[in-house]
Amino acid sequence: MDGRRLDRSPWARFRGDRRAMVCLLVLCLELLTVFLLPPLLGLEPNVSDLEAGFWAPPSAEHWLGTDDVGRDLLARLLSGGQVSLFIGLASAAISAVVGVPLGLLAGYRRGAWEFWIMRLADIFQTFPSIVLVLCLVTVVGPSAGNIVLVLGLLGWTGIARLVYGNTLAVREREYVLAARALGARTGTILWRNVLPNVISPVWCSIPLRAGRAILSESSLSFLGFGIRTPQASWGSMIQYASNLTVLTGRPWVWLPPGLCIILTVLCLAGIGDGLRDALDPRFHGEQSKL
Amino acid sequence: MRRLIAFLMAAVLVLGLAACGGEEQTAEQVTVRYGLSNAWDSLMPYNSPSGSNYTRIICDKLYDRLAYVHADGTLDPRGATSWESADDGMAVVFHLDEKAAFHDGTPVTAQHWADTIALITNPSCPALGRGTFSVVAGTDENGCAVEGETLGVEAVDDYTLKLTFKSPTTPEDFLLDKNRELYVLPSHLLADTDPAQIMELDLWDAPIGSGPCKFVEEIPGSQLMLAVNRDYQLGSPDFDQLVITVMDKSNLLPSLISGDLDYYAFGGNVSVEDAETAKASGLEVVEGEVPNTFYELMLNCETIPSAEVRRAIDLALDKEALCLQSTQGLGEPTATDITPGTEYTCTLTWARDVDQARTLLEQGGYDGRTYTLACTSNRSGLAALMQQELAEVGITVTIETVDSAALFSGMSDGKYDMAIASHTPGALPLWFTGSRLSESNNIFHIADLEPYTYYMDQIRAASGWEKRQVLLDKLQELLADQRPFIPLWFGRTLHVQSPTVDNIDYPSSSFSNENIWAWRMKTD
Repeated sequence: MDGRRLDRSPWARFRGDRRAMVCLLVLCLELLTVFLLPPLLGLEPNVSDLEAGFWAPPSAEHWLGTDDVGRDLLARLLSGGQVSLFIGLASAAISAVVGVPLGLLAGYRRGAWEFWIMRLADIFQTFPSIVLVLCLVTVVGPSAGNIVLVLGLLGWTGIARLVYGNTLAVREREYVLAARALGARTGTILWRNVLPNVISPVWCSIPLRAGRAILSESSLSFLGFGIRTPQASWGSMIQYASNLTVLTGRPWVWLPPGLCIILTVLCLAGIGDGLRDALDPRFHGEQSKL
Repeated sequence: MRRLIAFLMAAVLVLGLAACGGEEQTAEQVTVRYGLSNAWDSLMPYNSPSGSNYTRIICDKLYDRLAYVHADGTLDPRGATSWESADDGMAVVFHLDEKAAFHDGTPVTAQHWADTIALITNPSCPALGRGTFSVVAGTDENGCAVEGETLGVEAVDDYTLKLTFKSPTTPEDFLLDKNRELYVLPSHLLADTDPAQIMELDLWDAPIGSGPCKFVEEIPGSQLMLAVNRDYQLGSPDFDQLVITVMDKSNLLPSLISGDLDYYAFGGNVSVEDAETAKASGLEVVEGEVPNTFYELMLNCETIPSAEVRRAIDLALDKEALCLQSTQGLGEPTATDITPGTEYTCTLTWARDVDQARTLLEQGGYDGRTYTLACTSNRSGLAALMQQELAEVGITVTIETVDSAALFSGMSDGKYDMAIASHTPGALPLWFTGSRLSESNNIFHIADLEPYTYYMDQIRAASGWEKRQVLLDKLQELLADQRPFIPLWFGRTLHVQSPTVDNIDYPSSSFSNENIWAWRMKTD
């Protein structure tokens, strides 16, 4: 193992990973584009241009053409990007906020805490996730906020398991035993001694979860259970491809959102890999490439 | 020795396979594969909670009706060979086809028809859709037989059925309005059953009707296998089986193109843009000549109590753009529910007037509240366009995408303020208002129906076209003034022709009947 690498800070190690840096750069660029370009160009995602017509092909006025209602597809792609990225990142954050404390409690307290939290996780994982998400979204109503909540609250199990497994190992370490012997309170031990030593894999899994949430939102929108009309998301834009004529004759309608989803998910996966390598040097080098 | 054993085993295998092949050849049946985008909810025609056209088109195969209704409003014999008015227009006499028989061989008689109507109007029978019979004498407004009154149905002889109505009704008016909901049941198999228990019978799992097809097998909600009824009185097609498969609407045309389907309901309907794909794939596409869809914006008059606000909504809508978005040029915007091309007309016209809409909103005291507009997912684009147009005059709307059943129940319950709906138009003057502006189906939540029912009762009772037209004009003026619903447009459709089956009456499929007995396999 490269000793110099271990001496460097995680951020320095992350910066040294060219693939992860490219992914981060692309994602940042994407975020800047979807949030800054619409106000700069004065793009209106929900206004029809009846003069341009419905399903107009790309032109100087509408770079990506118009949709079935005459709305500018570029504006909707950018607006949809805001929604999709928000859903992805926010739901991953919610999963972490719920999953980390539960995993810590289950792993550190053990006993009844461990039993109930991990059995609850088992129950959540026994349901086919897309079916459960579909049912819940149907009950609470399709909106970006509700989808974030549903995806976030259903995604805690993976993170909780990750934290739980690491906490089981860490709780027996000398520094934790010492803190306990010195009379530190459980909350303090968890916060100061356990959490910093189990959080690294969570940072790695958050981008992957965000990518998965974007794909889930796309699936929901494709099935017609996504966000509320007239809001756009990349998934709802891909839904147009369910029409044979659009699929075969109007690739400019569904190709850009499809490519955006692929690019975003790949970038998030790349960042996740980079974080894993940077935060846990044991996985760096040849191992990470396996 | 080993070689001998191997040879014998190979011989057995070959012979076995050959035998299988031979059996397949002898048992080969000509099957027509039929696609449907939604499942039927019952095989008992009077037990359909949705009362949808999907159930009707299935029951159309299993059970017989009195007549066959063409898209242009003309009628052909089916269960009845002829009909005539009687008792000064208060009754209609149907002469039944003596060749008609149930699938178990029992002849269909007038008594079967009379028993069916008596059973369904029996208040203790949990029948759905009995409102069809509310026009028959001796029933209440819900179609339930009234105790102490004589039910207006009589088997004059074995093959003569007489129906007596509450008001003068021509045979044509009755059949155009009610034929698709009137089926004959095998009452000889129901004689010993308590009417309250009728829907519990196993008979409806494998029904015996007298329609052009016989039940074979069902995978509920997914597939229905029917055999052709060779003894059907109007003849039978030259294939043996009809396999009806439920599939997503977007898969119907691709399945027809790929050869997985021979035909899909209703009438191989296809949008203008998909028609190009169909043509490019070598399929023939024919344009329908009569309107087969009527779009309306349903309004909740309880949550939008001001007629001025409702009229403002009407004036805010650009029906031309909405119609174009929905029909791609195969529709005409309208200010009325009177079907164009029929003998009845309406002089009202529509125009978008944003300034006038704003004035009316002020007069109506619109408080800026946000209305909920419900639509099905395939109309979310249309709803988004409406949302923009309404926003232009200052009306805020949120869109809720729901399925069709939730849309109608939501409007009935008062959950939604408006909803986009479409219907199959009829040739009668009250084809739409007659069923919508009634106490039993006050889906627009109109506080006082009397002004409407006053004209509608007079129209029903009026004899002759001229009198009806004058009254109809007055009703339309009242509707335009109060705007309980907003007529949007009448649309025509394109029909993709089956590549394998001939003689299909495509346009009439929209009216929930298909001339399956006349279908013939194409010969290359």
